[in-house]
Amino acid sequence: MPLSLQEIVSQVKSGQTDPRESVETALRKARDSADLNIFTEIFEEPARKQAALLADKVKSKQPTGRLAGAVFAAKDNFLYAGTKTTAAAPFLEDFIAPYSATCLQKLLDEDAILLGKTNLDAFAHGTSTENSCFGPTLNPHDPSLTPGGSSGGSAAAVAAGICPFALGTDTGGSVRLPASFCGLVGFKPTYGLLSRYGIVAMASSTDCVAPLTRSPQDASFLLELLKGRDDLDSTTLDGKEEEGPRKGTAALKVGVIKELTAELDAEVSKSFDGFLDGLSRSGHQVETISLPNIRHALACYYVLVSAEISSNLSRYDGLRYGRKEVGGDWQEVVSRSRRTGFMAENKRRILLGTYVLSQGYYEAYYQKAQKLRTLLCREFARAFEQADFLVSPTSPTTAFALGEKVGDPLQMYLADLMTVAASLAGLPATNLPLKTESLPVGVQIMTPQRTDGWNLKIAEEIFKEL
Amino acid sequence: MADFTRAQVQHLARLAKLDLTAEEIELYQKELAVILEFIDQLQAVEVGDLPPTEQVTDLRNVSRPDQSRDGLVLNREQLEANELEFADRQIKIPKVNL
Repeated sequence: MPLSLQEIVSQVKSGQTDPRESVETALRKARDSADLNIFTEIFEEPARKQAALLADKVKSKQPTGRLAGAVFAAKDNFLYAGTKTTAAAPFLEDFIAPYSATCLQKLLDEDAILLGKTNLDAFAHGTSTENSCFGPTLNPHDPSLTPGGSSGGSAAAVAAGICPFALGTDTGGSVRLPASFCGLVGFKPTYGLLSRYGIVAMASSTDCVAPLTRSPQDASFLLELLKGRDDLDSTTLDGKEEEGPRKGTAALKVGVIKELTAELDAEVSKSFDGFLDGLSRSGHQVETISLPNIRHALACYYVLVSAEISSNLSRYDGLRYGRKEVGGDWQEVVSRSRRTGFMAENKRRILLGTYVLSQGYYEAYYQKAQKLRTLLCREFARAFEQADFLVSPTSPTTAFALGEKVGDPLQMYLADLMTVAASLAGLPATNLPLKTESLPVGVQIMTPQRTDGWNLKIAEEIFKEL
Repeated sequence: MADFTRAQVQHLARLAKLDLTAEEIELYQKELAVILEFIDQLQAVEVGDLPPTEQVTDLRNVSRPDQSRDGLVLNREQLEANELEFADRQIKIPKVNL
């Protein structure tokens, strides 16, 4: 049993663990896993320096933060002042962040030690980390497979045992999917609970900071440190948990989303059935619930998110920061910089987003999708009247092979089939890794907005029984 | 609807200020046609008079005092680190030809 974050921190605070050793161990493991292409940058000397300062504080009995000595990694779309934030795209390959992301800073303020930045699909567009300009990250369970995406590097860092947790972002499944492919807990909070300030924006109405951990308990611990209103992100909520008929974690009504249990791989199907049996044995009441329009969630997602992407990525113009293709007038500089600065998938989504927002197509696509989003939110609300929490597999398959889907963008999008609906509705959703004989399989636990702590407690209870 | 012409891709590329090569135009033409066919399932969905959802928090008109704060305004050094050219206190960009 690996140590919990709280145990790790308590051992550092008591002097039992020297944070300098934690950092050396993490660096060594990172070096040993170099083939997996997990990191875009490792902060070797700064991490050692942080550890030395912390060791001094502990020795001289000064107060230390709630994450003292916990080594972690952050997806390379989190800005960290004074260092490169590349978003794994040519545009930002040499971009130095002028400020730090709020969530990153909160952890550093608690004396957590940042080991490095992890690889991702460029601009977080992808489900396999194969769209990175630095090449793909490999799955630690089987290096011929992808770790999932877009937070593949962060998932691999934890799955390879390099650090006990990592930060990622989840816009449509980008933490839950890699968590399920790598056998980790991936927690997407209620939209708005964690500040997006300092995150390279993808889709502003669904982007969420989301941690990857080894247990739901660790995710709960991080949630408490990360949540809360941020003046720098006006879409943040206060951290209050929703009151209501929350009946603890025993004898609950579980809704299995019927439309998300079709067309599953044999391994996933078997593991998921086993999971449902386990829930019944634990005293929960398991029922199938239909959310008829959830089968359109993926189409809805790609319309809305591509539209938001096309808007958010218009700031990459080669004029303000990042790669610039010199020569010619303004139009030429902008268009050429955008030609060489973006990866193919970025361009695909920009074009799609531009299309659904353009004259003549706006009503049929974008507005339609916005209304469908309302419908989905209402279907979830109705479902939560019948069940306490909803479950589905996180992915219809286990980790797929490198190269398998790169030639087929739609197939790549379908990897997010199970995860996008919770993103559209802003619900907290946790990937819980099941015990399997071969490749990891994850299940998804969804609860109403602002019941994040409760969601993770449910996950914790189930995790213990697995 | 599932057919995507070269002219359509070029039009979108112009709107999005993306300079695409001939190969890219051909590739995206094919790929977007497939994606659009998938997305067209939305046409059959009944949404009636439902209001559109823009965002899923119930926040409205969140504001803060109109005051500058330390660390939130980039200084000249930070801007220069982004390889920007200055003329006095103005940033120079390539000529805009309309």
